[in-house]
This record gives sequence, C-alpha cells and structure tokens, in this order.
Amino acid sequence: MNALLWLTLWAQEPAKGFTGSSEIGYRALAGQRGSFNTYRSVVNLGEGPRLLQFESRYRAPLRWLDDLRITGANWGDPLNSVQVRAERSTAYRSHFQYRNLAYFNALPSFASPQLGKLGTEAYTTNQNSYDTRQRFWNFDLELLPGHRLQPFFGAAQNTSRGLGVSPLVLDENSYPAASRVDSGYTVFRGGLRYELDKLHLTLEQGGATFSDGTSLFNTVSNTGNREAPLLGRSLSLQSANRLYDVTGDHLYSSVDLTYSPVSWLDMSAEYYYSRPRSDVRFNESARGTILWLDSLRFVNGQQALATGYANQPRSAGGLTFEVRPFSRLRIVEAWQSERTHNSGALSLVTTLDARALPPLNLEDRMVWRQNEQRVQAFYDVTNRFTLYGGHRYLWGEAEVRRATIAPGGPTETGALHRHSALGGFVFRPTAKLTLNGDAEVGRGRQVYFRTSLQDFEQMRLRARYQLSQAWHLNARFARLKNHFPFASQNQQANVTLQWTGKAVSVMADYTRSSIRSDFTLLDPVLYRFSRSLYQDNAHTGTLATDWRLPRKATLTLGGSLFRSSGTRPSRFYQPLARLRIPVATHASFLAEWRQASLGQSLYPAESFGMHQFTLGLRIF
Amino acid sequence: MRVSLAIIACWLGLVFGAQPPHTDKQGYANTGACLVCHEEMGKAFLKTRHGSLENNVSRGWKGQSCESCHGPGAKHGEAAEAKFILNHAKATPRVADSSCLSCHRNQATHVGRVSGSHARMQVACVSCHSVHHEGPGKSAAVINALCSNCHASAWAAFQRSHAHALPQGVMSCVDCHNPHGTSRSSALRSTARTTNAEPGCFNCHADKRGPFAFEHAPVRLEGCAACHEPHGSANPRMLNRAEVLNLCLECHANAPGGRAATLGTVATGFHDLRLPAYRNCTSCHAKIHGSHINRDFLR
Repeated sequence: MNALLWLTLWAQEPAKGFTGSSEIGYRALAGQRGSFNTYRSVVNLGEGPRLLQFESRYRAPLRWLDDLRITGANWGDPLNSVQVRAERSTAYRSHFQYRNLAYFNALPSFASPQLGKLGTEAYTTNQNSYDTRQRFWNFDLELLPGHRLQPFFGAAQNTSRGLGVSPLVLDENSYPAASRVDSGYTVFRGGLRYELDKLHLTLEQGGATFSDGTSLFNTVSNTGNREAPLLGRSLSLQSANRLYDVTGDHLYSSVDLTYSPVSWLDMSAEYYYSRPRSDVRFNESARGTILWLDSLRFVNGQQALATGYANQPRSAGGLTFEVRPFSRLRIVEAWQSERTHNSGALSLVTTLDARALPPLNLEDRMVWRQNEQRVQAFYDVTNRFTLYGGHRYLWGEAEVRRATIAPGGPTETGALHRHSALGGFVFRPTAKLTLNGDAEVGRGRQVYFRTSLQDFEQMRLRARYQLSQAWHLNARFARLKNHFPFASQNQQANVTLQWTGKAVSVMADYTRSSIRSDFTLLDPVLYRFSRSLYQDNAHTGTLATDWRLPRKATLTLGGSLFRSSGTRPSRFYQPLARLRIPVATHASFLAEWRQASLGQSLYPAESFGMHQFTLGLRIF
Repeated sequence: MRVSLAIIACWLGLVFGAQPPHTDKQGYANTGACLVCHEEMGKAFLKTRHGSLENNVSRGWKGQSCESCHGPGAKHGEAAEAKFILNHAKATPRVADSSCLSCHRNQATHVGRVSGSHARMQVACVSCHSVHHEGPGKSAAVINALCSNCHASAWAAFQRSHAHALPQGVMSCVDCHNPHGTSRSSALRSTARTTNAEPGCFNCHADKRGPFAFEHAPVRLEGCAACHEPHGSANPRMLNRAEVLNLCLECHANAPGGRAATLGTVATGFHDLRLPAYRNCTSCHAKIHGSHINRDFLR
C-alpha cells in the first residue's frame, strides 16, 4: 500500500523541465543635485534599459546534466553578476560566478592637499582616485559528490583596469598625475577530498600568477601641491612617467582534516603553506625644477631605475578538539600557529641631469610568529540553559624594520602576550524566546601597536522573541572598550521588529552605534601635546512594508535612513517605493522609485541627491 | 604508485570509516508511510539534494530518507503523536544538530565548526538551511536577507554611504565569511588563504596581496580590519575613522612610548598637521599597503 502510494507520488513529481523568471526594465535618473562624482562614488547606478534580475533552472535527466541553474542581477548597470550552477548529482557539481564592478571613487575629502582652499579647482580633485573596472570570475568543479573520494578543481581570476589620479611624490613636492591601473591575479587549484563516516581529509595544491603594471604619467606643466618657494625657487614638473612592472607567482598547499574516532570526540586539523614571490622592475623619469634634497641642489631631470624582489614563505596550522566526556559537558581546545618571513631587496640607480649617482641597494625583512591557544567548556545546566567559560592566550613576536629616528640596529623586535577570559550563556526559557550573551575580558603584557587590544572588554547580548505567529522581536547589544594602550570604544544597539499580517507585513529595524577614540599626540612642529578626539554617533533605520493589494498587486514602501553626528556629520537617505501589478498569468508590471541623498555639513560640495525611476516587466 | 594509493585508501577506510551502514532498522517505517500524512512536505523534499537518499543504496537509507534525519518513525506513525518523532524546529539545537552532523560532521566545510561562533551560540543548522524545500537559489540577495535576519546591526552598517556592494545584490556575506565557522582569528582570516572555503580580503583585493619588499607591518600583524571597516564607513575607502589623519595618528602620534607599544612606528616627522596638505596622509603615502620601491610608501 505504502509502496503504491510512493510510486504514485513519484510519478506525479513535476520537478523536471524549465522554470525561470526575469525582470527587465528601464531606469531613468531625475532631480540631480549636488556632486555627480559623489553619486558615482556612492551609488553608481545609471539610466537606460536594464536586465534587473534573472533566474532560470532546467532539470532534466540528461546524460551529463540533471540540474542547471543560472541567476544574475543588474545587467546593464555598472555592478552586475551572474552565477551558473550545473550538476549531475552522481557525477559532478560545478559552479561558475562572474562579477563586474565599476569602481569609481573620486571624493576630494579623501586625499586633496588643497582641501582647505574652497573655490579652487584643486579642491574638486581627489589626488588618489579611481575610475576602474574590477572583474572577478571563479569556477569550481567537484567530481563524484557524495562519494568517498571526490577530486576537485578550481580556477579564479580577478583583474582591475582603468584610469585614475595618483600622487607623484618627488622629494619635497607631490604632483597629481594621471594613472593607468592594470593588475591581475589568476589562481588554479586542485585536490582530493576523502570523506568517510569518521574521517574527512582534503588535500589541495594551488598556484597563482599575478601582475601589476600600473603606471603614472604627467604631460603638462604641474606646480604640485607645494606653493611656497623652497630655497628661493618654485618647484615644478614639466613631464613625468612612472612605470611599474610587478610580476609574481604563488604556490600553496593545504591539508584539512576532521576526525571523529569515538562518539565523544571530534578533531579537526589544518595546515597551509605558501611561498609567494614578487619581482619588480621600476622606471621613473621626470623633468622640471626638482630639488634633490640629499645634496640640496636643484636638477632639471631625474631618472630612477630599480629592480627588486620580495619573498614571503608562510606556514599556518591549527588543531582543534571537541571532547564530550559527559552528556552535559563539552570542552573545546584549539591551537593556532602561524610563521611568516618576508624578505625583500631593491637595487636603485638614480640619474640626475645625466649624472648617475652610486647605486643604492636596500634590503628589508619582516618576520612574525603568532600563536593562539583557546580552551572553552560548555555546560548544559538544563536543557534550556547553557553556560560556558574559557581562556584565550595569544602570543607571538615580530621583527620589523626599526623606525627611522629610533636608535639601534636596522630592525626591532616586538612581542605579543595577551590573556583573555571568555564567558557566555545561551538561555531558552521557552521555544519562543532565546537569550544569549558572550563576553571577553583581556589583559595583556605586550602588544605590537598603540591601537592593538591590550586591556579590553567586549560583550554581546542578543534576544529573539516570537510574540506570536505574526510578531517577532530581535534585540542586540555589542560593546568593545579598549583601555590601554589606546582608549577607544565601539558600541552598537539594535532592535528589529517583524510583523506579518494578512494584508500587510512590516520589518522595522533601528540601530544606534557609536565610535569614540581619545588620545594624545605630540605636535611635531609646535612640540606640544594636543588631544585628538574622534566621535561618530550614528542612527540607522531601515523599514520594509509590503502591502498586499487587490488583484494580487503588491506595494512595497520603505528604505533606509542613516544619520550621524560627531567628527564628520553626515546623513544618507534611501527611501523606496515599489509597485507590482500582475498583468497576465506569467507577467507582472513593475514600477519603482528610489531616492539617494547624501548630505555632509563639513563637505557640502560632496553632497548629492538623485531620484531613480524604474519601469519594468517581470516574466515568470 | 596507484596500487599504493589504493592500499592506503582502503586502510584509511577500514580504520577510520569502519562505521557500519545503518543496518539497525528496528522501529523504522518507510517514506511511503510518512507521505500518508506529510504529502506536500514529502513531495517538496524529494526535489532536494537530500531527497536523493531515497534511492541511494550506499548511504543506507534507501526508501527511508525521511527517517534518515527524523529517526525511526513507526511509533510516530502508529500513535500519530509528535512526541515520538524528532522535530528539528522544536528540538534543542544540540539535538537537532547531532542529527545533521551524523552525516555532515566530517566534511570540508566543518573544519572550523567547533570554534565558530554559530556553534558556540547554538545556532542550529536548520536556522539557515531549509531541508524540506529547495530554496530560492543561493543568489546574493537571498543569502544577505538570511544573514541579516540575525545580524541586523551588520546590515545597518551597509546603509552607510561607503560600503561593499551587498545592498546592490552583487556580493553576499559568504563571500567573506564562512558561516560554518572558522578557527582562525580575524587577523589571519582577512589575509590568509586563497581557497573558497576560507575567503580572505585578498581574494578580491589581489593588488594588496604582495609580497612587498617594504611591508606596512599592521597589514600583516593586525589584518585589514586594523584600518578598515568593511561593513560600511563614513570614509570613501571604508576606513575605521572618517578622516585619514585621525586613523594614522592613532599609531603615528609621536608620543613617547612608555608602556604603549610602537613597534616599527615611524613618527610623523616635521609635518605641520594644521596644513591641509598634511591632513590627508595618503595624498603622498599612496602605497600604504606596501611598496616595492619606497620604505615610506611614497611610490
């Protein structure tokens, strides 16, 4: 009887065939105000016909394929992507992903030495800006999924190409120059995965090549950012070229293992070794009035040729145990260790006014070892209440180039020693309410930098409550406070409310966050201590309301609102309204309005506002 | 060579994989019995990857795919009472997960599971994974919506003016995070690996990968998050501070060290910090992630 029923259901199975949906539309921009460069740097959605999103799936018992999925978004926009998943469930599983991102970033507040001079042309130039395309693709193929032995292969590439502006620094002046960005990284990898009931082992070997052919050029008379004469003369640049030719390769091997020899013990181990190497050739030529600071003389032409390399062998490993000696107790012990050694050398020949200076040979090295040991014990006080506590010890040492004005040899050594107490709980008084929290209190003897966490506390509290089938409430609070060596605090409080009614559903979220850092610095010119106080107090609200209208039409109203005060006050609003009306059995009409509006009181020239209107059709 | 490999594989199989197939079938019904009451759910389930267990002999659940997760169902079927069957949505996460992990414990994605915060906070597998239904696809927008259900404050950070392209649906949370957990500290995670199982920032920002002849030590010792807030920032380059100067001076403060650590930290020299030219450090120190040519990251 049951078998008969099963066969009947299987025969009715409608999973085979083609299904899919796509959304096409036309976007128009209107009501532009303020800086279009900022709009491109922040939102960067243009106007014209768009394939807004598409999703299709083909399921058929073909010999080499039984499931094919293609999804994509934003084709026609500067940010677009596509994913293809194809598999034959007993033979292979493959995944291809492609992303194409236009990276435009030209905000003068980031890097403009002329920022204080409002009204000048220089104010509107970010001297470290980009207008590039970043393309990424990766392909992964797993053979024999679900079998004991699973070979796998993969390849990935990312490239960045385009134009920009970069500073060309020549001794005592810097000149904004046009730059051409051209870098790429390609990796191939393959390996074998061995999966048993009690053990899993993955062996992977990969290799990569990378290149960076970024160049800078200046063909016009350029006075640079220094306006005051130096030693009685004004510095300027008539022409300049700077060419990098960086190539490299990178071989790596990794081993991952999980092992459960008995029911009360889980182990995992990982090891990773890589040995990347870069080779660089550098050519820079400049003509103008250039001060050669070492000999305090002015020259009209300078050329620098350099060749160099860098090696960075690196090994990292880890071992983790989870032991469950009793049904209520779980102990996790983890070790991590990493060793890296970076060494580089450079040979630089400089020619001043056709006279070559003695070659300059530079070497640099950086070595660091870092280890972490962590033990945590989890105890189920009841079925609904779990407490845990533990200890983390982080230690290591690093050898880096000594600060230039510090006395001593070429390198200096720093150490890291920090102990932390860990604790937390998970409490589920009812199936509808979950509370959990965790905290870490760290005290260190030594750290590397002023901003490192040495004496700190961090804690997180979360609550999830399902008031009814329709109402859900989430709340979260997180705080990180570092006392020493550097006083800073980072805090977020968040509450989310979801309500699902018959005609309306609402998701409302509010987040209050604050960042504060307070430190003393020594003014290098006036030689006096002054205080630097940085504050960012932000309110973020997001709202999404879905209204189910007659004739299966839906209206979505909402958007996000961000407002901050403090060192750099800003507001960023993105309201949204979207209407979908079915016009046929397999088609619906789409109308959408969005607005993006950024305001910054300290940098009003970087504010903008823009309305986006989209009309489209969804076919499914 | 191949014979040796085969012998090693067999030995490993005998020693480590010697768990018998699920032969103890006392108390089990079969999928047909389940579908008498749970027809709609069963039909949806059979379209999923787990549904293939129904016809898979080697995994030992042929004809009993429902019970491979829910446990023996004969008593539940006879009594028609919920208490006789494992319901993952109502069970404690530990019990629910032990059912999933009975098959998925030893897999590549679980290398860092026991150290991960999801395991620590008892976030059950079924909190994210839908087992009975084929999900709406792993598109970036779907993944982001799922993660932001719990990580709402992280999602709020993406509403700032400068953030990665998650709200646009081009990137997803799992492009950077491994939700199954990782055993690496954040510094190692951001810079370490190249594989998809453990993505790092350099997967996409390959031009910052190096190695450089002259490294900026915090990039390697503290990771990208020492300076960047990847979820969203007021700074155009997603720095932790809105202004470049604020960030750089936190280390390069010229202040006497004392107990404070200043490993390799170069003082700001005689830059007059009141002048705009010196308030944007990266105007000149453009190669701040590391330089092949210049120790001061000027070119």
